[in-house]
Amino acid sequence: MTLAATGSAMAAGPVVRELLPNGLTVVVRESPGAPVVALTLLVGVGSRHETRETNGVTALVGRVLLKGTRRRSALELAQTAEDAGGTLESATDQEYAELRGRGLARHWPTLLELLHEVATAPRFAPDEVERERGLLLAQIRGLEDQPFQVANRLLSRALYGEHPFGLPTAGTLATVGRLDGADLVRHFERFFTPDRMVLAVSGQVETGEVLRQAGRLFGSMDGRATGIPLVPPPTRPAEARLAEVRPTQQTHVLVGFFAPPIAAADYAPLKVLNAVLGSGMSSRLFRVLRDEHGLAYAVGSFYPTRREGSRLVIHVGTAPGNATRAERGILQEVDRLREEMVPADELERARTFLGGVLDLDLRTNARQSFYRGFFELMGVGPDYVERYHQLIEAVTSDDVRRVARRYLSEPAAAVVGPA
Amino acid sequence: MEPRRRRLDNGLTVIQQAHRAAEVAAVQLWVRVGARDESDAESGLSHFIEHLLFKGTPTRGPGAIDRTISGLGGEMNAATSQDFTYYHIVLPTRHVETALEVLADAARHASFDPEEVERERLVVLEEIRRARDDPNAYLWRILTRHHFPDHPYGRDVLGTPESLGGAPRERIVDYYRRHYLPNNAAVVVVGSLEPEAALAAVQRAFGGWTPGPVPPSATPGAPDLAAVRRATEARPLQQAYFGVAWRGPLVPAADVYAVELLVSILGRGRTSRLNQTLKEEQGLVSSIGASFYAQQRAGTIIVTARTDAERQGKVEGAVLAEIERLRGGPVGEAELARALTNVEAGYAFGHETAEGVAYSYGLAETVWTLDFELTYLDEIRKVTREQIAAAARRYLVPDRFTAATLEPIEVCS
Repeated sequence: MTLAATGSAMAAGPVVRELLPNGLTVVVRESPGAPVVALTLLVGVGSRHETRETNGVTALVGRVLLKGTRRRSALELAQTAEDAGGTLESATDQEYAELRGRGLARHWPTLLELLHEVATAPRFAPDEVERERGLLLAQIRGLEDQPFQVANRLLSRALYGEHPFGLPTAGTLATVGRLDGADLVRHFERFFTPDRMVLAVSGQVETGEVLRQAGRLFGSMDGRATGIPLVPPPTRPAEARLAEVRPTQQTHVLVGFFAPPIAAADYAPLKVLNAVLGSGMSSRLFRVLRDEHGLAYAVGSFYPTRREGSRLVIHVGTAPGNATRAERGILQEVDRLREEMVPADELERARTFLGGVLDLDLRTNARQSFYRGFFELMGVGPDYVERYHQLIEAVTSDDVRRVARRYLSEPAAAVVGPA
Repeated sequence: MEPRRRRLDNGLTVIQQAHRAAEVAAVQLWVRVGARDESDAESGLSHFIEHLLFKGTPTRGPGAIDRTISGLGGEMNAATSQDFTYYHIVLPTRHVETALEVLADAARHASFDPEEVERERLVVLEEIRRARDDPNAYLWRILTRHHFPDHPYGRDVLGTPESLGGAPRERIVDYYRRHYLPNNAAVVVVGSLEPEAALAAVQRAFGGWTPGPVPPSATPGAPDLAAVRRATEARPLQQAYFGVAWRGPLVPAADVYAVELLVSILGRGRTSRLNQTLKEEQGLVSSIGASFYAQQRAGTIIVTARTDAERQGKVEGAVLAEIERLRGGPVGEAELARALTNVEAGYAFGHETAEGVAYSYGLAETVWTLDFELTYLDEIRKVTREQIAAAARRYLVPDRFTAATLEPIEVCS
C-alpha cells in the first residue's frame, strides 16, 4: 500500500509582485489554508547605517513608531490591532527595520492601515521617546545577562572593529542614553522612504484587493533616500581574540569568519558548508563535540543572510575546564573542511536538510510574508525561495572545499566565562 | 474538522487528522511519564531517557535516526515536562512511514549502549549548567521549587548534577521499561494523509509493541498554599527578575475558562492591565506578562516581570494592586471581547501547521482529555464578566502566593 498524499494540499496562489511608481514594492501571496493574515513592512535601514555616535537609533525609532501616530495614541494602536485578533510589532536588525502585523484574515484592511499609519505618520511624542529609551536601555542590560549574547557582541567587535557591521543592533548604554528626539526624526525622515520599503502580505486574502488597497495607501508616499555613503566592511578581522570574564557556569566560545552576501555565487556553497559543519543534529560539530565527546549541550554554526556582507559563526557553551578542548575541536573540523572532500552521501543529506528546513519554515503566513519581503529587500526577489532550492542542489563537494579554503582562513574568536 | 481517536489492541491510543496546508506530516509520540513520576534517586531520568532514546537501537546505530530524518528534509525534536515526554517528527508526507518506524523502534528497542549513556550524561550536565546561566530559566526553577514544596512538581525536570551523575545504567533501563508501554502512550499523526492509510501505518509500526502493567501515578494534588512564601537570591545580573504564582483551577473544572480570560486581561499583550499600568504608566518594569500553566495535578497562575535594582522593591506591591482591582469588580466589555478575540486568533495561528494541531491533541490526550481541547473554544465563549471577577476572587488570594526574585549584584569583571 502506498501512503501517497491525498490529492494534494490546499494550493497557495502565485506570489504577485508590484512596483509602485514611488519605488515601494508590494508582494502578495494568497494562502487559503487558515483564516489568518500576516503583513510585513521591511525598510532598508539598520545598525549598518548607523555610526558609533548614533548606534541604536534605528532600534529606538522602531520602538517609538508603535507609540502613537498623528491619528492614534499608543494604546489605541495596540487596541485596534488586538481587536483584529492580532499584534503590531517592530524589530530591527543589521540591514533592515521591520514593522509587522498579524491577525484574523477578515481584518486585513485594518492591519494594513495600521502598518501604513505607523510607517508614515509617527508622532515622536517626547514622553514616549523617553519611555522607550528607558525600555531600550533595559533591553541592552537584559542582553548582558545572557552569556551567549555577550560573546556575540564581543565577536562582532573582534571581526569588524569600528566598522558599522560590528555595532550592536540595540545600541549601547552610552549611545542610546545620548540620542534625542531630533536624532530620531532625522533618521526616520532620511531612511523611511518608499524606495527603501517592501510590503509583503500572506494569508486568506484576495490578491487584487490587497494590491489596490496597498497602492491607495502607500502609493502617495514620496521621498527618496539619497547620499548614503556605505563604507565597505574590512577584509581582515580587527582582533584575533577578545575575552571577557563573567562568573558563569559555562564558558562560551565563538569563532567567526567573514562570509559573502546573498547575491554572491559562493552564497549557496557556503550555506551547504554551514549545514555540514554545524546546522542540525546530524552536523559534524553536533556529532563530534556533543555526541562523541559530551562537551556541550548547545553547539553549532550559523551564517546569516545579508545583502552586503556576512559572517559564519561557530559557537559552543561548555564547562570552563573544557573550553580549550572545545575550541580545538572546532578548529579541527574547520581544517577538515578545508582539506578533505565532503563525502557524497553527507553532501546530499546536507542539501536535502537545507531545502527541508526552508520548506518547513515557510508553512506559516508570518514566515511567508517575512521571507518574500526579505528576499525582495535583499535584492534577489520574492521568488528566490524557489531558486534557492536549485542553487543548493547544484552545489558540489568541490564547491564546498573551495569556499572552505577561501573563507575559513582567518578566524576571530570571542570567549566569555569565568577567569 | 474532527480528529479520529482509536485504540489499538495493545492499548496504544492513535489520534489522526488530515491537515492539507502543505504536503507535510507531523508524527508525535506522547508517553505519560515525566519528572513527577520520579523518586528522589530517579530525579532527571525522564528527561535523560528523552535524550537517550534516539542514541541507537539494535538495528539503527548512534546518530542513524538523526541522519535519516534530516536526510529526508525533516525535523525532529523532543521535550520532557512534569507530566509527559514527547517526541516529534515533521517531514514530507511521502516519508511518513519512515517517521513512524523510527519512533516505534526507538520507543520499543532503545539500546542504552553504556558508552552512549556516559557521553550523553555529560551533555545533560552541560544542559543543567546552561539553565543556571539563563536568568529566566533560573527564576522559574526558584519559583516552582518554593511554590510546590514537598511535591513532585517542585523538582527540576533536568534533575541535579548529583542525581544524574549517580544514576547507573540499570536504573535508567528499569525506569524506561516500566513506563514506555503502548498502554501508557499515544501516537498522533496529522498531515496530508488519508485517515485509514495513516491508521494502518501506525498499526504496522506500533502494533507489535507489547503492553504491560502501567505504574499507578502517585502524584497527589498540590496542597493549597497556607501563606505568602518569598524567595530571593542574589545573582551576578544587570536586571532583576521577578515572578509570583498562585494556585489556579484544575482542568477540566469550569473555572479554567474564566481563568484563561482573566490571565489574558491581566497580562497578555500590550493592552493588558499589567502592561498598561506597570510598564506604560508607572515605568516600573521593562517587561511583564501573565500566564496560566495547566498541569495535570495543579493549575498555576503566574506573573513574571523584568525590572532593575532600583525599582524591584515596588513591583510586587504594584502587581498586587492590579490583582485587587480585578477582584473588585467585573472587567470591561471591551476587555472581555478583546481577550476572546485573542484566544480565537491564538487557536487559528496554532492550527496553521500540522505539528501545531498534533501538539494540541497530544497534550490534551496525555494530560487532560482530547474532548477538553475539542470543546475549548465553545466553552470559553460562554464565560461572563462576573465569572472572571469571581475567579479572580477565588484564586488570586492576596495572602496566599509564592514570590521569587533574582536580585542583581555587581558583576566583577
